[in-house]
Amino acid sequence: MTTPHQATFFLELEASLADCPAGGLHMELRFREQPWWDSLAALTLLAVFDTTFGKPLPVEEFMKCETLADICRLA
Amino acid sequence: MSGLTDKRVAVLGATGAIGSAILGELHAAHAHTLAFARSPEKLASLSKIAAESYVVDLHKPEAWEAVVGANAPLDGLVIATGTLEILPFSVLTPEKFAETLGTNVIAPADFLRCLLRAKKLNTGASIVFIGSISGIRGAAGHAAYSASKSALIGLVRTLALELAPRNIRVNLISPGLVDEGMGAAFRAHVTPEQFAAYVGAYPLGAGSTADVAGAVSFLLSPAARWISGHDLVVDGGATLR
Repeated sequence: MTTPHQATFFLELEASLADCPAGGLHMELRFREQPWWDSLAALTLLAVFDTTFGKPLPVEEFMKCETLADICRLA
Repeated sequence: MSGLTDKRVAVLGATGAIGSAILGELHAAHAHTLAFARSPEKLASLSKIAAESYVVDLHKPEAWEAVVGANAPLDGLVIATGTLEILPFSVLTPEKFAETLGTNVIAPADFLRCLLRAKKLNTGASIVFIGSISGIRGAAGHAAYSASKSALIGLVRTLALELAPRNIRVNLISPGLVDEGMGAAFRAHVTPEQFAAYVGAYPLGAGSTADVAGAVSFLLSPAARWISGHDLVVDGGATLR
């Protein structure tokens, strides 16, 4: 079950990542394995997390995440 | 001799990593140092190197206008204020953009204009802004910061022309990344591998705040009396690549 905040996070992240295909994000997505994943995408994810959930995502925690579900668990 | 003995030199943003290093350099050169910053606690920690300290928020002119008016004219001014928030352009809101431009360009320019209108800069004074190599070349996630530092280049060149008749010099230092202050903030946003790769792009290796402070001291000194409107890049050769 996706919460409203998580849904906002997915929508905003998809809009902010230029090469991410529409509807391409879901909880079990292993984002680091995607062709659009790079350092700028990482910065984008950190920024969108901060604005959506109202708190920063520590880099050391972020580095341990493999899926978007892992990310959302830190919200 | 640095030529700065007893010269009244103010440092805005004196409690930052680069600002405090500049203040220390000027104190060592026997200048009469005035430290300006927002945090009273951090200012208190500079008491050994600041002859005078003033708590000011550049976004609140009504507070610092009184300080400027009550003080004797300056021989030098260093503007080391600034903010860096790494945000990819796709998530850079107008509010965040305006916030960065306001802090890095408009507020310090407003302070300087107040000094000039109050006749608080002596003939022969030297003004040094702290820019960044981000103002010369782009960097991912630095859209607002780069734009603000590029704006300083134009501001400095214009002010250098406008103030030359009063023999007031205006210059800019564009430092590369130093691993303190904003550099440390940058490190927090990237992986250790990315940070190592970034530092590896510096032909002379990593720099320090002392490297920046030395260059500022030179531009404030009489040794630089024929230099104005210049952007002195202090980056260990990083922008050569």
